[in-house]
Amino acid sequence: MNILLYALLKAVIVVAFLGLNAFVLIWAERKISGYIQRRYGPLRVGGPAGALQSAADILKLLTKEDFVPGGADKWLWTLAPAVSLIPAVLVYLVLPIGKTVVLQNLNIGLVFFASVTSFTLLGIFMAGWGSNNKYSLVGAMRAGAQLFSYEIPLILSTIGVVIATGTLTLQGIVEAQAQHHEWFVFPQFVGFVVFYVASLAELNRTPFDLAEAESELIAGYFTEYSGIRWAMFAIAEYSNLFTTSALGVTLFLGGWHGPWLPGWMWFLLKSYLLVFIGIWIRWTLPRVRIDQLMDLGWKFLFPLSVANVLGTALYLMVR
Amino acid sequence: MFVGRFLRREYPETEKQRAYESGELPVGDARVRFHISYYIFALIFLVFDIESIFLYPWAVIYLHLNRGLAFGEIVVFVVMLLIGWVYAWKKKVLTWM
Amino acid sequence: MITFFIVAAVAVAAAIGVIAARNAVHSVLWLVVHLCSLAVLYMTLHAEFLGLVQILIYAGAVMILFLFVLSLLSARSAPNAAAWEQPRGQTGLAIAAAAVVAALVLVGAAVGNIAAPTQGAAGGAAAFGTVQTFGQALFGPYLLPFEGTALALLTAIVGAVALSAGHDDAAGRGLPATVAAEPADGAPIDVSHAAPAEPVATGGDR
Repeated sequence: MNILLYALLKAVIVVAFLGLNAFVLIWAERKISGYIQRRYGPLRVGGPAGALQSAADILKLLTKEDFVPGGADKWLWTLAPAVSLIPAVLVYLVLPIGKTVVLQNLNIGLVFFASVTSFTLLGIFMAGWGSNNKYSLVGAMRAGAQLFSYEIPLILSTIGVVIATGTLTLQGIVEAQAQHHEWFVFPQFVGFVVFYVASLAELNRTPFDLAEAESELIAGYFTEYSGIRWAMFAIAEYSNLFTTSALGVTLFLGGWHGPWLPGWMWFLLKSYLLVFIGIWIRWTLPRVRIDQLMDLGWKFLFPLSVANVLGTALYLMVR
Repeated sequence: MFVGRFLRREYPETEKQRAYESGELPVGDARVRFHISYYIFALIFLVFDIESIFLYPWAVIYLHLNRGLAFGEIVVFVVMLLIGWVYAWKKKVLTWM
Repeated sequence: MITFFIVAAVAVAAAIGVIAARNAVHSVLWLVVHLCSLAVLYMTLHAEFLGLVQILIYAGAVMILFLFVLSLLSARSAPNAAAWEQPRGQTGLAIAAAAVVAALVLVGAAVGNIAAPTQGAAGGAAAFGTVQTFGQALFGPYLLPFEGTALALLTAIVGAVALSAGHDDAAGRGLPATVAAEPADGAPIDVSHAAPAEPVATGGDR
């Protein structure tokens, strides 16, 4: 019984954080994009610097009508947002937030992360096919192509770290970095770059947001969604932005390790720093073409990540 | 888990019209047969997905093995798959079209 | 034990779903449910790595099946566009199903995790199912099969490439790469295929 109670508690914490995170990030993204484009961003809704914008958005979305578009596959259509959101929630289980703060220190946390996030694509396909809308379908197909191409470099880029630490526990990886006072960005710089680029692509964020390219595809796979269901996609997206950044911090930037401040604070700071860089990139770079996207994935990042794995192994052997 | 999120939802408005797309009337069924040109990417993806999964256990125990031997083992493994990759590239399968 | 029976029941039900579903896409999704419940079964057997790999690999494999269905089978849903639809039962059931899946994964993870440390302390033989033991076995006694796997995978790539290379030689090579997801070689979203058997009314009756 205790286990279930704990699980429930964890779930509540995660969901609360999920909401808060989306709340903050949506506002931050709009604000930062505003500054980058020399305008103000949200101002009028209230709160400091329009911070209540997200609250207004949520209220608006909650009062929206909820219906299944004509011709849609009811089951797939209604399930798809949940299928996107579930992996977004589950990955919080393994993130080491502080030295002792981790919801579930799985002994294969990294594999857990990879396999759970691969389900995002399923949600996208379900939405794309279930909507009975051509834009949705094309968006989902593109998302598929993209995720297929970048999943491999993403996985391979983490293997260098695994070789060096000999563990798949995310907590163990952070501890290894804390022990040697050496963050893996430096020895694993190539891995970090591959990881970051590939994760931006996996998140469908702008230099790689072909799946939802609004100038061509309206909104991609969630064209037909509105109200709270749309919000679930949005929450999942922003949550994934945070968790992927947090994984990057854990693997390459020392996780909660850092001087003076308590661990969880370092963890959040670093994670949001990576998120900020992601937002910055989004509003700075134009969208790539799909053939460029595929070339970058298969002809550049993939061999680079393989070389990184072998190079790391070779270095550790010779050393 | 997410029930709370759902319970807050209300239905303040009722159905008025069916929503569709872009203001235009849709032409035909959206679920057409779809030529998937990157099908091959999906297959190659699967192969390399398996490869990278095999690399995990190797990476975990690498430092505990006889490193020279382990390195040789994995090089054979990776190179074999890279042959496939080069072959695919040469056949211009990796070029999007 | 209870977990086992629940998950096993889900697995069997999903397997029936795979063959009973009218719609090929639904079949594919039932397969996902089935494979996930198998993964949970592995986890309850303390083979967490295997379980997660099962999810990871089969998620990819199932996507490919999805593509197969889309490109080959022309899975079209029954024309249910006539009635205005409000999600009534579906939403509740869908949420319930989603919650059940999430709960199962959680429980599986919790059970596996709680059991693992105690076992690790108990000694080497009990480390069954961890990545470490798996790696030791793979790169020790089972090295030859492992390299054989590489060969099999190589064959798979070559086969796939050979099939598709022959295909696009026949179709238009050398067309400019397009920005869109539709290929340039002949069949973009092929509206002509979708002869509107059911009249276009899908959204028209405002």
